Amino acid sequence: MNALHIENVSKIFPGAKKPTLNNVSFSIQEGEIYGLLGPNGAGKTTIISIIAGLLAKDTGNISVFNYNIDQESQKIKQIINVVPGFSHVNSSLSVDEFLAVYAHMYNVKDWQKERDSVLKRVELKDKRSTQLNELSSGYKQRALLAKALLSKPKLLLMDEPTVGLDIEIAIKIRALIKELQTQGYTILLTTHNMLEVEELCDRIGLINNGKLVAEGTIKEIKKLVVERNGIEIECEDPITIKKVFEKESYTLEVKSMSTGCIIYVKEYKHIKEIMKKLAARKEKVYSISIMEPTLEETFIKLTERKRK
Amino acid sequence: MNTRRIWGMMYQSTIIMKRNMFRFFDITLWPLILFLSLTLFVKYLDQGEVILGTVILGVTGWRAVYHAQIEFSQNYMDQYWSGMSGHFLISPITLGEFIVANIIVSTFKFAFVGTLYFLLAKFLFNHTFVNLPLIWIGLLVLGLFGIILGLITLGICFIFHENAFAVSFILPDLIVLWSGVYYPIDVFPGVMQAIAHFFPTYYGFEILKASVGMGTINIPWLIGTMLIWLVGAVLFLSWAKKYTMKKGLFAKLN
Repeated sequence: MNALHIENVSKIFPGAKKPTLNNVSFSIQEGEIYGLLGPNGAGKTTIISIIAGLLAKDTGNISVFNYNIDQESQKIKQIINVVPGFSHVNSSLSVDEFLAVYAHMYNVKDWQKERDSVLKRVELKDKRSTQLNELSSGYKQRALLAKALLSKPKLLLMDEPTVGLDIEIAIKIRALIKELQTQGYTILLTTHNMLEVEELCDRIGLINNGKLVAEGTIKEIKKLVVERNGIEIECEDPITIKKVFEKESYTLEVKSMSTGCIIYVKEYKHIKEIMKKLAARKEKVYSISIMEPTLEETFIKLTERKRK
Repeated sequence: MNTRRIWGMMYQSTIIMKRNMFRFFDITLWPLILFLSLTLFVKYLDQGEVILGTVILGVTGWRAVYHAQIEFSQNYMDQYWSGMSGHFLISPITLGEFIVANIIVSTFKFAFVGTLYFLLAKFLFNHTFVNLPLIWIGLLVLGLFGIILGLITLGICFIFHENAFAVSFILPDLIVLWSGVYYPIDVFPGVMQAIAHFFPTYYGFEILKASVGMGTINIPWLIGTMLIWLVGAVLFLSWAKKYTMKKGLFAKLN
């Protein structure tokens, strides 16, 4: 079942020359972590704001668990929640009071028990009496996460949830996101942190200048920019290896370097033959790896390609 | 209408008021200053019981308009200033539930201030309120118009945020003064008198004045103007919400 279905959504702010979103379409399956990846100003937060009901789209359709956003926004609000990043929450409510207010807003049953449970989960129990305006940014983020989890949303929208946080808290939040997935949560995560995406997301959408540039699993996305299949070998005698593999029918090119060489092959499946041959020749090899572009390189290549 | 969401909103308003001494002054110190500055002056001028009664009722009616309308913009701006409006707006609370919560809270606030005024009038000036049903009706009319004004100022706050908050203070005061709060509107130039007839507050204050034998009651005009303002306010608020959503003027999540 589609947890979220976005079809040809466009948004141009009045007075703007270019659309912020330009015919964006993608779907998220139930139980999936979907990463929306792009630089600042790409349109990630605009998408989240439209789904959350803060902003009106110009055209296109959005449905959340088959509820249409134009006709059933109230039902959607009940089953989604949002965790923003770097939120300047500055309220005089204590963490407990803040959660109590939102437990009522979302009609949470047995809310006191649920509140205790989420406070424990985000490790905020000892700060429950502290006012939000007295919390550090990391604790504020945990309070917002607790608020979002309190309503047990079917779709959780996380807008750069670890931005501006120190490494320790960011790691904890990432671990929690992964844990939430195992409990059946569907998560739309926007970020420009490529490592976060690689660690957490099942599928990703690359967005740039309001357009979805590519979509798929990380492997599929990377494949889109791989022009040649390279196998990197760290070895003692690169010159000999170069000579040996240059003659092979599956080899396109061999480049030698001081620490090893790169063999460009027609297909990656030839790695087996390469390994067999190296073993047979008893060459001193330290490592063999498939050369893969980083997500960052992939993103840059894809956006450059679109520009051209 | 979900009563839990209404309760959640009221709970939040109460805690914010409890934590903020200046917010507490809004139902204690400021109303007292307004009341005493005017009533003591009237007492000094020795204008008699009827004029004193008119002023006391005028000040009370003014507070009815003020509390009923300020709650909307103040509550919304509280969310905005504390960086919570994004969370508040994405929550399932409806505009209707928000409005009902504010009406209940403002009614309690006004009840507190009204009781304070009643006790002060009683013990400070030995004033006796006559024709209580008429006073209740007058205050109800003024409170209802305050709610209508609240919808308008809320719409303005949607679009202009903190830049519009001053309007929430100025607008009711301006209309109240224009409606002849303690005086007949005959004191105004002709054009201003004509315009005053389009404010339901004019008829509300006339009802209060009638309780001490100084005003005339005009029910058809009261209902007519009230309906016009109500329809206008609802249309404006609904347009303001759509406009704000289209332009992306609601608070950002980050």
